[in-house]
Amino acid sequence: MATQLKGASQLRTALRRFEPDLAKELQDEVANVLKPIVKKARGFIPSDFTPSHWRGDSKTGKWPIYNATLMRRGIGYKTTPSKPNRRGFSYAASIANKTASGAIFETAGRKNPNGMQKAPKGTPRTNKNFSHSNNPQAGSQFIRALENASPIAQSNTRTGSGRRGRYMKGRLIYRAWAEDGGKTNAAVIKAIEGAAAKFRARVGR
Amino acid sequence: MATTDLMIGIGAEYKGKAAFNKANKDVLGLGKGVQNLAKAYIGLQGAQKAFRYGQQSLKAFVADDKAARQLAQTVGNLGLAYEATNVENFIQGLERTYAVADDLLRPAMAKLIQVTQSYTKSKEIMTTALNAAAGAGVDLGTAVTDLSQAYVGNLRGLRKYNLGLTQAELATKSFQEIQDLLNKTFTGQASLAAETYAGKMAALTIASSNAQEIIGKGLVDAISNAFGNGDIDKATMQIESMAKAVADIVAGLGTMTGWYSKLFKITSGLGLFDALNNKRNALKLKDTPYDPRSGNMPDMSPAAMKVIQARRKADADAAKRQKELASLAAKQTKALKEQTALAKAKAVLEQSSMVMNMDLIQNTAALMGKVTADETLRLKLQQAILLGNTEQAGNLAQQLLASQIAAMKLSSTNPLGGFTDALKAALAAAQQLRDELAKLGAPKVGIPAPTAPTSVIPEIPKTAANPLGIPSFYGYSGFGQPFLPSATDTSLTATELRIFIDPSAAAYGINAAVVGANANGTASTVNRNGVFSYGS
Repeated sequence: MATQLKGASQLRTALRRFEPDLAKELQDEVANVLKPIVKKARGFIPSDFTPSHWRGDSKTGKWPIYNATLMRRGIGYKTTPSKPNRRGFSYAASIANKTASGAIFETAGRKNPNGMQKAPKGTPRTNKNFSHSNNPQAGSQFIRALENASPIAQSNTRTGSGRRGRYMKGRLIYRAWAEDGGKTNAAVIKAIEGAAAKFRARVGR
Repeated sequence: MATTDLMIGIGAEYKGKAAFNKANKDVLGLGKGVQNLAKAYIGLQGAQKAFRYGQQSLKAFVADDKAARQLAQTVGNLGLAYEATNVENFIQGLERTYAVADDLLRPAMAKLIQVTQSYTKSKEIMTTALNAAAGAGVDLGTAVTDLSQAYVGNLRGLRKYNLGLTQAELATKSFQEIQDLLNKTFTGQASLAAETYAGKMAALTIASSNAQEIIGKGLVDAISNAFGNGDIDKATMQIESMAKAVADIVAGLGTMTGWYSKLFKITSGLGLFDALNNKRNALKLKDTPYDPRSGNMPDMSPAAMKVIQARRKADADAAKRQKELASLAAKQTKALKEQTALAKAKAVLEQSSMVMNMDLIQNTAALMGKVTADETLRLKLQQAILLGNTEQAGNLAQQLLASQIAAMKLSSTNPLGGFTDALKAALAAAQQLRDELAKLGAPKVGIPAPTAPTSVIPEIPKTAANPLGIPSFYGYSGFGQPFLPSATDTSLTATELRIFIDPSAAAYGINAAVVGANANGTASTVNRNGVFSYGS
């Protein structure tokens, strides 16, 4: 879980207004810290991964084609603060996986590691809680193929009691983040604190 | 690129929930919205007020017009159509002079004209009513009702004006006399009331109401001109067919005003309105406020003369009717008086048995030696009542009352002196009856003094042998034995025996007997005592 900061956005505003070079310097520093993670995450996407039922676009366009290049391009970083999420948190920097196929690759099997249950007879095809494939093992086979390409990993490194949720599990960015072991997070925080110290030194406070 | 939740956030900072920010933003937005709404509402209020004022003006004009037409119709129905304009002018004049709304004056005037059937008389009474209403502190409607009722002989409503006369005194006066009295008492009160602050406020209110009516008339005219070339029926149909409410038109008053201004500007040089102005100037005489105190003479044209003749005839008819009414009222009063006298006499007869015990009356009358005279009086009175002879009945009732009073006094004299409360009340009632009969024209008769009984048997001189002067029949041979006259006893001759008792002694004896009876107990008392003694 991300370390909580206080005053990061104000610091950034102050840097941009009074010390633009320091702002730029901070952004560069954070980018340099995040680049290896992004590179690593992109590396988890196999170029020759072609499961039998992920070869082409669906007719309705809802199931995207597997395109490794596009998926890699969809993984990136951001050194500017994000908008606050629903819980009111804003992030100083972030790594994101933005493509649809990249999201499938990232999260498939998070909820049902063995695929969804086959829909009983009479279940409407619009019901998304069941697999509507004629192959009852379709989901399981698909997830197994993905697992072979890149195993899913829990990036929530928080210690202590309590269940770890599935929302920090993934095969690309979350796996890279998990394997990083928190070093990148610490480096980002250190960069921000360093910029703050420099700013204080410059303005004499 | 589509947004996704697949993101790892670094360096999280709590910035407050978005919902809070949204709520904050919404509140700010709401504030601005409310401000804008308030501005819009104020504008709308203004428009609505204008619209409402327009509506009220229309209503006021319609009501005023209706009242004026109703009055004109009433006047016309009574054959006084030629006075309709004068009546309207008179009402307008009164409104301006005395600050009384025409809404009140019209129905009042209609009522007066209905009763008097004369414009001139109605004018007089209306002026009196205005003064009386202001002076006595009653509303004009009440004053007019009272006076119109008084005109036809019902004087009950005049009490509230405190004219210092009893109802009986008022009844003897003619309406003209009553009106003169009212005028004398309350003259100038209406003018005074108009000069007060309240009166001036009333004048302002009236001016405002009149302004509303004028604007309302203007609106009606404007609508009829705009849609029906001056014909309101046509305009109404057109408005309905246009499916556009009149409200919209009223709301667009400002636009209409602009149109009229433009129209006036365009036509001002063409002299289109000059003719109208000339006509208005020609009619200016009619528009001049009527001053009831002015002595302006009407013009003497044949039409005017005709009107004057008709008015004189109506006034003469009204005066004649008033005389007839007065005569009728006098006759009624006389008949009522006679009836009352008879009723009183009858009451005397009936009450004679109530105020005194009949036995006592007879007894007392016998003591006074007036049995025959009293009975005769009663019979005569009964006869007079049956025959309806008021005068005789009254006189006889007075005589009977005098006799009864004397009898009562005589019979109730006791050695201790004074009368009981019951007797005093009875005497007072009898006296009251005498007074009332006297008021009705039956003169009082003096109460006769009690007369001493006359002796029939010569007084026996008191001697040593007969110290009490007992008559000689005590010396009869059968003294101490029952005296039983017998047909066979020829030695006895028929002798008239009269016993006279001293009234005071008789009263004393009766009282003593009553006291003894009470002490001993009557049959009922004995029974009651017996019941008590046995304890059952």
